[in-house]
Amino acid sequence: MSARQSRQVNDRLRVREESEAYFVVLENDQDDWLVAFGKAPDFAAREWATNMAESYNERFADPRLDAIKMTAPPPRRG
Amino acid sequence: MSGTIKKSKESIQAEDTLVRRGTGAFLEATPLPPAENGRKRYRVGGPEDFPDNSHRVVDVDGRQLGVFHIKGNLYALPNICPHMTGPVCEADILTGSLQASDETDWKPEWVHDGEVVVCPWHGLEFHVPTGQCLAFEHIRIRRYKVTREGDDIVVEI
Repeated sequence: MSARQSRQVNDRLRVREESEAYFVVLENDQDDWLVAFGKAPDFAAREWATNMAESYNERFADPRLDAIKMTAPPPRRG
Repeated sequence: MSGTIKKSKESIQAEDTLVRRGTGAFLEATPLPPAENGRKRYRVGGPEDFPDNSHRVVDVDGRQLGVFHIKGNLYALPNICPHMTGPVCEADILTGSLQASDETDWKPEWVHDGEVVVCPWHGLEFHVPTGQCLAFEHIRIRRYKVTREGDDIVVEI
């Protein structure tokens, strides 16, 4: 086995809505999900899912390798 | 003395605590014939690569998976935190968590010892065997099927 630099997920992410949950999925295979955010009256599932997808897509679009390296620090917000 | 303490605080970075030191390069899985259900299968290493109570990140066909061997069982989770997409499976250690409820009269109890991974970026905890986020009951990370087949540790996607 070899070792190489890679991205956490080599695809953009998007949100797929189902009856019970919002799923964050791969843009090019929307059956391929990563995280489920269950719908509940006291939980902002759609907002959580949207934030996850947008956060990753922002990093995914960043041409700097440091933005996608595992040891990169958290992105600055605000 | 205070100068020493100040210097120590300044020098503490996430990389010094939970994140593994490294270059971001991981072992690359090798493809195997698909399963009968059509799912893709990959060899992520051998048993020697995953001693009990250990974990490591493997690159599997364009995604990184954390592969865990905990108390004799194998688990695999995507290496991406639901919060801010941090490298959740790169946490250096597996730990447990404190939990309190009315069942314990709100006294904290140590639970899931050795089964919890903590995202190095912001500290969100996940129970590896279930993929369950411990802080938010409605968040769950996907779990991938992992099996040992002779000298191969095999992940199904």
